[in-house]
Amino acid sequence: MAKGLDVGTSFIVLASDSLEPISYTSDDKAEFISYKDFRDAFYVIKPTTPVATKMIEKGLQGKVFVKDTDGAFILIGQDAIDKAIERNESAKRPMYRGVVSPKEKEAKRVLAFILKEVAGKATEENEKLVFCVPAQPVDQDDEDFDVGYHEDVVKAVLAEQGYQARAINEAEALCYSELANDDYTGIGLSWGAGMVNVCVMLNGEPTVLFSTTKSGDWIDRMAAVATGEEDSVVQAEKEHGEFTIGEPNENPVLAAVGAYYERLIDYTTKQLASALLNHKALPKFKEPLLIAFAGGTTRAKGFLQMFEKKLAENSFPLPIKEVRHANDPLHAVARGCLIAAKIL
Amino acid sequence: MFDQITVAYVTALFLIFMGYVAGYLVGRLDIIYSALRRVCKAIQNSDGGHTPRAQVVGEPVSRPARAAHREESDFVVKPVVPVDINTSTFVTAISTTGMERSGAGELGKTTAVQDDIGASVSKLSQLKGK
Repeated sequence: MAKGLDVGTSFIVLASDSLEPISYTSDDKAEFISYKDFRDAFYVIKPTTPVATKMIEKGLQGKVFVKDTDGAFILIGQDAIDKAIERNESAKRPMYRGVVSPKEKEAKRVLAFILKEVAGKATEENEKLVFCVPAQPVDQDDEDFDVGYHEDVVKAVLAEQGYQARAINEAEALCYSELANDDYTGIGLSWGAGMVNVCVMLNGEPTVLFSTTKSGDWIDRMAAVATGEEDSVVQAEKEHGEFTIGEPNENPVLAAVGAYYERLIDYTTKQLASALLNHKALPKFKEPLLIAFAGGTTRAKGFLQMFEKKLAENSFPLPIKEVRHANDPLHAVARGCLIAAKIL
Repeated sequence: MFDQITVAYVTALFLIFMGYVAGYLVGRLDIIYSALRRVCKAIQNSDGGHTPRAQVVGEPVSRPARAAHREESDFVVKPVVPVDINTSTFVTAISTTGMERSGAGELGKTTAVQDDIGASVSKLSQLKGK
């Protein structure tokens, strides 16, 4: 058995495989992948009196929450976001821009708790598990960002659960998942909540890896500033509302979200073109390339069309065969991690 | 021959003159001392003091040049010690003790999809030579 874990800023996704019978009458078994999605968020409620403690506990009936040593209630997952919206506040994130958040004091403990809950105990001793980490950003100073500590935190937590854990790059995992029909040659872009990770792959070997630091959360933040709403409210509207990138919208929040989507795609394609132009490690490709993209941020309507348009406008330096959206954009990275876990 | 006053006068003049000379010599004592040292060194370096005149050999070296020369001779090439960054895990277990889970049910949403992942694994294994 092996497992793949996408440790994202907004979602943690566990992929594990299982064989299940095709039908009740057949002995043949089909390959299935089981995905466990967990919203990477928490919300802390600190009661001030014993009466308030009882009232809060009563109000949280039916929800999964954590009682901490200091008497605080920690709501985790989607419940945390729902509660934050109810109180017109923002839920907290244990991660920020793809790594364990330095902004939140409780981040490490909450992330450890969530990882233990999602991954569970290893089914066998030293079960292989591959998780993803972001690449070094090209649009931020080196001193401000480091993956090493985050990687060690996740490894330590998973080792405690009995896993032999190994990290690979997020976009590399996406390439493993999406480039099988193209001899594992092409470009993968994983548009997460915190960052956009990029991998240029040649015959299964990652040759160029980098990231940019603006993605879905940046859209939420900018739209929240523009409309005077909380980030959580904007995020909820963005995920459940009807809007198309590049088209006007009557809802002011969605109109702002659409506008900032266009700016984000423009910014990322410019960074992509700039980073790949004359890159020393870039192979000389004989044929036009496939660009595969995935991630929660790419689920907005009109994303593919806008992405293609901006790639052309911003003079992408390589010939493109096709720009393809992953079949399952939320699970593609976890699937790639699972493939890697079976090989590495 | 000389009366006492003349003798006293000449003696006084002599003493004053000697006082001037002594004062001058005291004022130049450092120069005299270094000159004497140079002469002594030159005599020591020559053939047992038989050379008629002490001679300082070699080109005169200015003070900054001398200092630079000394620094150069003091410089010792030290072996370069490579500084390795410990890449092994240094983060110890993160305690979740005290975090008590409440409420029934599983965290997160689980879905299963049919997926021919074996084909992808096989192809990638071949490419990676495993």
